[in-house]
Amino acid sequence: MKSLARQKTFSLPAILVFGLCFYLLAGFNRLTFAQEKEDKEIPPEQLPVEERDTGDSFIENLGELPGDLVTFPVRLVLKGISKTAGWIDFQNVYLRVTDWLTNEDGTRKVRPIFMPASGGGLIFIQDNLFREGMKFRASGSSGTRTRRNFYGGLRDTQLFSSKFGLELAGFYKRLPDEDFFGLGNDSRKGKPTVRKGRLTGETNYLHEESNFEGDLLYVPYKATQFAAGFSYSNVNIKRGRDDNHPSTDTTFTEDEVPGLLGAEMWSLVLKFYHDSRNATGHPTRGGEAFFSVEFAKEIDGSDFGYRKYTLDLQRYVELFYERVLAVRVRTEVTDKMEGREIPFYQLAGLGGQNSLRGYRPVRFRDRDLILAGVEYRWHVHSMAVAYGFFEEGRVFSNVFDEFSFDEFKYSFGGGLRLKSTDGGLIAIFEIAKSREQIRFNFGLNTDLRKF
Amino acid sequence: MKKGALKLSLTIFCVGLCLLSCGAQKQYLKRDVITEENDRESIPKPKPRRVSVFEDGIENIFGREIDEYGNLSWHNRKLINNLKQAKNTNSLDEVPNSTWFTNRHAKHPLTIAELKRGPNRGGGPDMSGNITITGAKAEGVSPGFRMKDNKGVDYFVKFDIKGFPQLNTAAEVITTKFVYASGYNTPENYLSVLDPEKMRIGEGVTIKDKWGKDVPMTMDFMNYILSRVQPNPDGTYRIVASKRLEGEPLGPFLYTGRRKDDPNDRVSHVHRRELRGYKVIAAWSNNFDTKANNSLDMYVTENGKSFVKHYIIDFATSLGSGGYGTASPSRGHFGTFDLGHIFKKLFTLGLYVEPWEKKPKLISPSVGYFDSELFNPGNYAVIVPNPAFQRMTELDGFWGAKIVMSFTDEQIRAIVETGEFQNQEDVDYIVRTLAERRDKTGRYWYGKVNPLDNFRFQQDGNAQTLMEFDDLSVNAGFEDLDMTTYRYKLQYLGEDLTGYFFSKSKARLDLNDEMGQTIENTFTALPGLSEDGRVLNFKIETLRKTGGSWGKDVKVFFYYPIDVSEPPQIVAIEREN
Repeated sequence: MKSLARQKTFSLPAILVFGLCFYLLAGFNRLTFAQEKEDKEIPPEQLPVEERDTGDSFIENLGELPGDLVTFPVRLVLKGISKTAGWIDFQNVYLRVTDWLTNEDGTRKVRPIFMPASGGGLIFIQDNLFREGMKFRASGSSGTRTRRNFYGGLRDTQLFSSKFGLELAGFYKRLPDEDFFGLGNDSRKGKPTVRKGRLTGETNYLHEESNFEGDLLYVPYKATQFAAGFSYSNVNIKRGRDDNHPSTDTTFTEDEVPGLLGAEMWSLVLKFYHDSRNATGHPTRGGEAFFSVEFAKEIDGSDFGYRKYTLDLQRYVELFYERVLAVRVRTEVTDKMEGREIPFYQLAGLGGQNSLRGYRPVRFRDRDLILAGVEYRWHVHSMAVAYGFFEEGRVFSNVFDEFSFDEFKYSFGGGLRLKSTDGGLIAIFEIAKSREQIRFNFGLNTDLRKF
Repeated sequence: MKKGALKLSLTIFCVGLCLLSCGAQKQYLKRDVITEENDRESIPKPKPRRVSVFEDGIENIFGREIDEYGNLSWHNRKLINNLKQAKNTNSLDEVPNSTWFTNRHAKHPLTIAELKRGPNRGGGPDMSGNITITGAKAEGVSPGFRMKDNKGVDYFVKFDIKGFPQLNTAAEVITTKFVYASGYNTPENYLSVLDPEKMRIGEGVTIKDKWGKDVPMTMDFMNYILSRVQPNPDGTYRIVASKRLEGEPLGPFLYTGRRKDDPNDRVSHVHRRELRGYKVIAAWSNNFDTKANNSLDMYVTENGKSFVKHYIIDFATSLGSGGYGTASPSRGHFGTFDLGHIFKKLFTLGLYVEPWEKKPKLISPSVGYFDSELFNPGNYAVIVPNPAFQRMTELDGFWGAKIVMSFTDEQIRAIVETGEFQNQEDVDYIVRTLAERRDKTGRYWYGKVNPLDNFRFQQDGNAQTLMEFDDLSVNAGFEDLDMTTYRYKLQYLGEDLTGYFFSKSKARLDLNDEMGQTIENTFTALPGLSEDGRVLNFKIETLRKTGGSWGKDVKVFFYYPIDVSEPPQIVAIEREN
């Protein structure tokens, strides 16, 4: 019995390996050679080309069969793609679409956009609208659960002279399932519960906002800009559309979370922006500095009023051969006016594609925020930049009283930024890890709204 | 027992490999060497076709890669170094003349005047009077248009891009002449000067707009084209005028498969030596865009027969020219979607720095990025993988290298000067760079085989029969003849007839009386042997320096005549690779 068992053990691998060896060696070569040598008296090189057998032997074709069968489904799909590409090429579809999306001198463009927060849509860009320096942007996008986002903006940098300008923008957005986990840096995911005397947990709300803002610009130098602006916003907070989690307005009270019904507010903003980057797509030197002070008050009411200070600094350092280290620091300080509160949706937020990418958008909320990050970028192709990043951040109820290096949240990851040859499409594929989750982010032309 | 099975399998595998590597010797017969491929028979006109750049690109970048991965036969051949050799070569491992290729400079050196003239058979377009615009191309890599010159001859016109004087036009003209002298069919490309004042739009001439609709061509449109190109100081434009090819265009040829409606097209294009070996010539001249659309089949009538003739066209992406301004310094180092390269950069986190990233040096706006220092002839990459190039073997590479090496410095200079550069420094730089790239090409490919060639039998003063040959590495100055030793032995059907003989510092072998007697004895022992079967061979190996090892062999098959007063006749050459 034992010997039989041993024979069995031997036979299976032996048959497989012998078969493969025989197939590879005898099948493809000996038989092929035999056919080549024995079937013809005269070597093919001595025959006129038209009399030669220039095809592959039957055995050789047979040898290709297993591989062909394995790769057949992929080949079929690829064939379909290449044929479609050929059809698109011959029908001038790409040219026609490009022509429709872009005018001759490139001042008018229509581009697709996608952001997880606002969904997918299109943006219309018109540079040199009535005169040089006047730019117009309009976009519309929609997504799941009747997510809507509409935007329109006009910027004229030649208002009185080349140093003064005007920027007007307005948007309407309807975000049906915004996350809210409670206030503070220690807010938790999961079912809402009271921790350390504060209610925390996963809820969602519908955020509907209409906003209009106008800025007067002073541009003393090409890279430097000062702005003074006015802004009006009307926010409605309603029941969240994500039924998997309780709605924010039914979980929290107005005392715990001010602004649960929304508010109509105006604000005055002073801004400074300096851009010394040597390129916009993949800068290797220079940086960006942004500072703003905002004073906001409720219209027809005295519940809400705050001051917000924002500082955002980015610096690009070329390490070697266009390998770039991007360093970023951002801080926000929000200070409520006496006797007034800050609507929770106007608090500093941490998480998502513009801050801690390993966390869900606006995962943490509080009055103040500190964020620092480094990103290492390198070209892997003329149309692709890879990057790896590490970032840390924390929200505070008062950064001056509470600041410590403890309890900073971190996130790290990497991604690819792909750019089409004509710069018409910029796509981001990103994976980010935090202590809570691994997130996959995707974005398309996310920066196009910026003037 | 599992171990036992594995051992047994491995043993069988290894024995199999050994058996395969020593296949039976081909039996060559006394035959004239095939020098012509009979592919000029009259055929009905094949259907013109278009090849989509995108479809072709996707197929070549991804489709064929997948085919290769799944092709066990190919893997097996690669494993035992038995890749399929070209199928249209003759017994001397050369390419017979055909509608694809004509043996030119490497076989029968052209004069300086012939090299400078290249494919051109006239004096170029007559621009003395009005020229008539008959069509235009605003899209694509480089702007251009079609015209009839003062004599009514059709030309396609291309320009230099603004900011890069002479770059594109010189590259087009120079590379055309190198490729033509190499043996390929090319258009006649002339440098000329266009005076916009003499441009007239032909009656009823239309262009297709982006919607595919025919719209009348206007001077505004022509001015738009001219606004994108480099003018001369006097307001004229330097152009390269490509004369319309004779015959009817049938669209591009593919570097794979065959044209099914052309009965003369018998050999799969991936197995054509001249298409595989073109990689070496393209690499030398940095002609990095060898996609199907840069080729053209023409239905021609010659000597009363109508057949398809195959052309390579459009050399604006060569030397330092990228077709639209300068070529990127990365050109030639990796293809558009070279996944290996992309993953290497991705997974090394960019710490791996490509050599071309370190030293990108713009020589001048007329030369672009074109260098010899970083040129790697064995690893040259065209932007879209070329199926024929992918099948190139060392023998194909050696064949191509012989063509490249056939151009002397003086000949290179003569051709480069036809590019009519404004600055002599640019001419000197390109000549020097091409010469250096040529030498790198020769060193690389000559090192892959035993580079002995041009075998011929002679008799010395003592009526002793000798076989002389050229050691191409020695002739090129890569190796020292004084340090070189050749050993050789006589074989018949793979069986040794003699032991080794040695020839030190002499590129010749003696076929002495003793060998003659051995040969006679061998043939006498084969009474049924026909006369044309009296073919045996020398197996020759080369040692480059004392203490080194013997390199790869080359077998020279020759017919040994019954009448010993007749010289033996070389019938075939086989090189180990």
